[in-house]
Amino acid sequence: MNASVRTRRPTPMTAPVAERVARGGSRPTDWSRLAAALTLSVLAAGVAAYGAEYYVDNSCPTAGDGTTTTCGAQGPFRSIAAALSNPKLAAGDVIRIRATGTDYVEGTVDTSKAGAAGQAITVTRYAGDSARPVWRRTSGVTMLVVDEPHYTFDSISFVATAESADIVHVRASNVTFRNCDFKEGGYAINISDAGDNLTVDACTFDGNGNNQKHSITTGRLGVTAGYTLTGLAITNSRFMNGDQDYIQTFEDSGKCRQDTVTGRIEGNTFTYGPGQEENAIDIKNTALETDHLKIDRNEIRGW
Amino acid sequence: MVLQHCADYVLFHDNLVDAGTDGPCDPCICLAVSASTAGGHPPQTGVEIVGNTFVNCKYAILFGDSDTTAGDVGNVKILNNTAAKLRSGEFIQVKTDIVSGTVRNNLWDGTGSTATALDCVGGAHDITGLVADHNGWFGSSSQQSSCAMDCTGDICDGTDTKGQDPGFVNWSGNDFRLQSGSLAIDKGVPVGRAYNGAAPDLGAYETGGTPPPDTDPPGSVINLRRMDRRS
Repeated sequence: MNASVRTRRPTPMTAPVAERVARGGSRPTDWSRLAAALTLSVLAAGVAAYGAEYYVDNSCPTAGDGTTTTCGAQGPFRSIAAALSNPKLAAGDVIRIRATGTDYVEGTVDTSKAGAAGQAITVTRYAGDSARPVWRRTSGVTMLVVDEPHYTFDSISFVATAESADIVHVRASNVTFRNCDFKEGGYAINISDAGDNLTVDACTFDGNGNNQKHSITTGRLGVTAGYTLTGLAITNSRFMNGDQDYIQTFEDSGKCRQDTVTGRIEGNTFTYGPGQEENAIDIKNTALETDHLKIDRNEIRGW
Repeated sequence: MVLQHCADYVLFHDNLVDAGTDGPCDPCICLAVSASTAGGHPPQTGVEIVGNTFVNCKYAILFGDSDTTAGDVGNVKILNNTAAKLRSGEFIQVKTDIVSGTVRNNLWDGTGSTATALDCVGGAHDITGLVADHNGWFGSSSQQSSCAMDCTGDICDGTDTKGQDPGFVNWSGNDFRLQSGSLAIDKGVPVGRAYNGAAPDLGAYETGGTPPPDTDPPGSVINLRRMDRRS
């Protein structure tokens, strides 16, 4: 890794000493602490650094290695898939996608590297961009499969014009979607039983005339009866123009109390889509006496 | 609009469910609990329905579904909800047994309705384990309950506002906060929610105290997130 050309975020003073020293941050005044810190910094050099930023810009004529914003060999990637499959990608890194006015049309994109607790891999727009980059799939395929934990997607517009496939499959824990748009698609967010602590905050789900089935659903990605999904948080989001239930926690066994979903659905707005066949929220699972599913302070209108 | 099929320990708090007047209203149930599918469901427990506002639905709350084999419901709490402008009238329609629970501090507006506040369809369902008291109802020309319940008085206590206008701020504008001087103020009993005055108010909107009263103009959309929600 050529760390010298990678843009890094400022290291907070609260970061561990070794990290601060490794990044050229403030140093301890005590020599013994300094020696210890230097030793740790050498050790730290053997592991992947974090906090780097990578760039994606589909207006560049050629693809670079993603490390700078200027088109060229060290310029942006041209696709989101290339950025997410970057072998140098590490926990805490940020992938910034430029909103060029041209959609990022891609096939199924998988995550390849895991984030870590407190060091999610973040996929977001360019700093300073007011527009959100539009990520559009080719027809008939799932747009994004998040199968590594600790990812955050912020300020991305996911657009799918065919109902035949889902937008996102969440197959790992601690994934966050914030300030994102989900337009049309099959299931916009389809969560497996490995998707604990999924957060969906301040997002918009627009079926655009019954062209999105469930906006958010669980229990459909090959789960076995008796699955448990905890920490689901769907907050401050808007749901409109849907077809089926906007949110459905699903079990298909025909029996009750087999599957468990806990968490909160809080502060959202659900608006009936003309012709919508189902409900705002459909809970088919049980929660727990010590870990509830709380449906709180939502506004549900129409039907 | 919201279905809970077999969902134990689901807490439904402080939501606004408004079917409006333009949609198909079919089935138009604000909240269905233990809605049955083929095969029926076992008893459902730990459901809390607290502090919600239900408007323009056929029924505010339905227990069971068209399948009368739907499972029993137990340990249910229905507290401090406001229901108004219901098309078929019932605050709670019961199509299954309710083996235990409490119905308290709710405020039901049956204006223009001949329905009952608490309706046991067909009279075949046992809800004798349901404790119902300190609720307010008004506007209906019919009885308060068709269920076989061990209670007397108005569902089922005499400290309600039966037959009298509870004094909503703006009924036609869907503003169901209580005016000062409302007969529903301080007519509830403590159920674990914060309240002002000598006792909790009936319904979803506690008067007085901080934060200040909602400043939305009359007739505007009620925004629950700006109301005094201190449960």
